[in-house]
Amino acid sequence: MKTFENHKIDKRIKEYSQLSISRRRFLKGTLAVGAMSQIVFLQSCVNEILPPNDILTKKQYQTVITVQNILFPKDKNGPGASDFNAHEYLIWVLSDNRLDPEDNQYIIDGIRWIEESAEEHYSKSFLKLSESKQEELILKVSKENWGESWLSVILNFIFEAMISDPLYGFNNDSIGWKWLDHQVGYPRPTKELLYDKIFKTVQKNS
Amino acid sequence: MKPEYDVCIIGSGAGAGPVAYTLAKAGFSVIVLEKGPWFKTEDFTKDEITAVRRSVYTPNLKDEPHVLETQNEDGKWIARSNYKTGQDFWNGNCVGGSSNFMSGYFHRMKPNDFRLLSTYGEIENANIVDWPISYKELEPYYTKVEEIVGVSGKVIKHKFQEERSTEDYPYPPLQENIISKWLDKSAQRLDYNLVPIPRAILSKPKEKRNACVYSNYCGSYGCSSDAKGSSRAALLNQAIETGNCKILPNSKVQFLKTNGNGKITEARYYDKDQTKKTVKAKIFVVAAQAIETSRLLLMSKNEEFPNGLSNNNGQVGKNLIFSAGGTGSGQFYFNGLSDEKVEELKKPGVFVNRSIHRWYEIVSNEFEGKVKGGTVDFLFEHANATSKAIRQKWDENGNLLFGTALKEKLKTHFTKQRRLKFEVFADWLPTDDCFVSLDPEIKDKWGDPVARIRLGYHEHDIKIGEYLATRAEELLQEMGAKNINSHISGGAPPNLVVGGCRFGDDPKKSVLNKNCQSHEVENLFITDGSFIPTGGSVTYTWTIYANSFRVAEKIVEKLS
Repeated sequence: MKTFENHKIDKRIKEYSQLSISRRRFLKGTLAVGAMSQIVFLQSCVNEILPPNDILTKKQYQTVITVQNILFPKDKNGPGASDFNAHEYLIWVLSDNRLDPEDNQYIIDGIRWIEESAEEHYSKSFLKLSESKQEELILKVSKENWGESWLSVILNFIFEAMISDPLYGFNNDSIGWKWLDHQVGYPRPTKELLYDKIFKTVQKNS
Repeated sequence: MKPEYDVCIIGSGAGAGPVAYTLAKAGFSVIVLEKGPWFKTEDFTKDEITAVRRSVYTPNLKDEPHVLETQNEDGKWIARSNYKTGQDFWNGNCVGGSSNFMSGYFHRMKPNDFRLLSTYGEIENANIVDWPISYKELEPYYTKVEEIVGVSGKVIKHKFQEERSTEDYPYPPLQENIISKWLDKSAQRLDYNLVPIPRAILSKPKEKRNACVYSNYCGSYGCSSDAKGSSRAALLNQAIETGNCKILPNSKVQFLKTNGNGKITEARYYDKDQTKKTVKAKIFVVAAQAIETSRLLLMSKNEEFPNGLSNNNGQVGKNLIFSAGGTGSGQFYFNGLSDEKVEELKKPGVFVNRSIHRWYEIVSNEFEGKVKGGTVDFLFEHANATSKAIRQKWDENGNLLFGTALKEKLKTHFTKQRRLKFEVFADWLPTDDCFVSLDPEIKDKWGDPVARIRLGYHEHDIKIGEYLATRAEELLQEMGAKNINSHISGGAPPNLVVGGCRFGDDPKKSVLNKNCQSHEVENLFITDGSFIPTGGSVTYTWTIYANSFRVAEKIVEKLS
C-alpha cells in the first residue's frame, strides 16, 4: 500500500499544515475581546451532558460542544456528535500527553477564536446567539483559512469518536458503526490493548 | 577478548530476518538489536486508533523526528522537522519492523531492472547504473522466499513474466472479490493482460502459522493469524527456536566502533532503561531500513572514518530512492445492480489482486525510443473508516463540508458504493537531490543527530507515472466506474524507501560490493534495501528478502 496519500500519523492536525492555521491576519484590526464574566446561555441538551473536566472551562466546553453539533448534527439521517460523545472524546484527546502540546493548545485557541468571531460579527458571546446565528457564524468562519483548518480538525475528532471501538467508552452501543453499516475488523481490542494501555502491556510482556 | 556473538544484527525487519534465520539454523550465534518494542501476534488488533491514528508502532515524532528538505517555488531547499509538519517517515519500529504492517503485494523485479543503464541508456541528471549481479543470480532466492516466507498466487504467461525456476507459487491464490472478474473482462476487451498479484500471505497453514482469515484490515495492521509473511512471524520466531538467536527489543544502536584496521569491534546501544551498553561480535549486519542505516553509518565517525563509517568516498546516504507514481480510483455505485451482485461486491476481506504489467516497457510516440515503464496494482479503498470519513469532508471545490450535507455524503460513501483504487509504480530515478545526511541541529531523545532527508525527484518519473495512470483510468472507464481520477506527483512514499548504500564494483561509486559487504569495513554487511542502486517499478520487500537470503549465505561462508 502506498502511504504517501495517507500519512497516517498525526494526520489529525498536521495534514492541514499547508493551510494557514494562524489567525494573526484575521486578528488584525480586531479589538481585544472583553469581559469573560458574561452570563452563559445554556441550551438544555448541552446542560445535560457536561461532566466536569479541568482542561476546558465550562464556557469553552459548551462552545466546542455547540460547534461539534453544528458540524455533525443529529438529524433525519442519523446520530449527531453528542450521540457518540464527541465532546468527551475531545477531552480524552486533550489529556493525552503523548500528543504535541502545541497541537492541543491549537484546539483550545480555536475555541477562543470562535468566541472572538461572534463578538466581532454580532457583538455577542457565541453561546448567546440564536441557533441560526451560531450556524451562520460557523459557515462564515469555515470560509476563512484559519477557521476551515480548525473546524476540519474538530471534525477529524468527531469521526474518530464515531468510529472508535465502543470499549473506549465513547461510541456506546456501536451507534456510529450501526449508522454507517461499518464492517468492524477482528480481533477487536481488549482493555489492555487499547491505545492508552498498549505501551505498558507490551513492555510488561517483552 | 573473544566476541560474544558470531553475528550482531541491527534492525529486525525484512533485511534482518533472513540473516537471523539462516545463521541461527546453521548453528551460529546471533544477536538482534531492535530499537522498538516487541509486539507479539496476540498484541495486534484491528483497532484503528492504535494501528493508524496514533504513533504506537512508530516513535513519537517529538522524541525522534526527521528533518525533511523540500524545494520551494524558487528552487530553494527548505529544511523542516517533521515534528512540525507531521509527514512521518517511520514505518514500523518494533520486532519485525515494517514488514509487520506491509500489505504484502509481492512482485519480483524483472531482468531489465538489473541492467537499466545498458538496456534503456542514460537520462540526463539521473544516476542510472547496472547492478553488479543479474536477475539469474537472485532468482533462486526469490524462489526461496516463496517457500520460506510463503507467497501465494498463480503464474500466468505474459510478455514480461520473468523466468522462474519453479512452475508456480507454493501456495494457491487467495480468495478474490467479484470485482476481479469484472476487471479481467474489461481488461480482455482492451487487450491489457491483467496479471494476478502474488501476495506474501498464506492461503493455507504453514507450520505454526495459520492461513489468512480475511480480516479486511491487512496493510497498516499487524497480522493476527500470522498468515502475513512478516520477518517476525515467518523468520525470527524460527530463528529463536534454534536456541542460537537472541532478540533485544528497545535497544537503540547509536555507534559502531572500529579497531583502526577497518574492522568493527562493537556496537554501542542504549537499552530499555536508557543505559549505554555494548555488544561484541565477529560480523555486524546493519538492516535498520534505508534512512536509518545511512544515518547510523554517518553517526559512527572516528579517526579512521572521519566522514562516517564506510564513507571515505562520500557515498553513504547518496542515491536514496522511493517508488514513483501515485494513486487513482473510480467508484461503483450499488444503484442499478442486483441485490446478489451488491452483496458480492460488498464482501469484505477478499482481495482484488490484479496488476497491469503490460507497460513494464513503454514504446509510444510520447517518448523517444523505448523507455522503462512500470506497473499498476488494483485494490479496494482501505477499510479504515476514520480515514475514509476524513476524505469525505471536502466538497468538489475543496471547501469544507459540514452539517447535514456532510452526513448525507458520508452515508452514501459508506453504504451505497465501493471505491476501487489503483496504485502506480514507476522507477524513482536516483539523482543528486535525493539523499540522507545528518541534521546539524536537531537531535533525538538520546541526543543523537537525526537524519535529514532531501526529497528531490526527477521530472521523468512524473511523465511515466502519468502515462501509466492514464492506462489504468481507461480500464476503469471500460468497467463503467464513476468519478474516475488519479493523482501523480513527486511526493515520496515513506514506506517504499531504499538506497543510500549502493552496491557496485567500483568502491569510488558505491558503498558495498556485490555481496553487500562494505568496500571499506571488512566485517560490515548491509542487508536491508539500502543496497538497491536503481529502483525497478514494483514494491521492494520481496527483493529485500531475497537479497538478504543471498547475503546470508555469503556470511555463512565467511564464518565457516
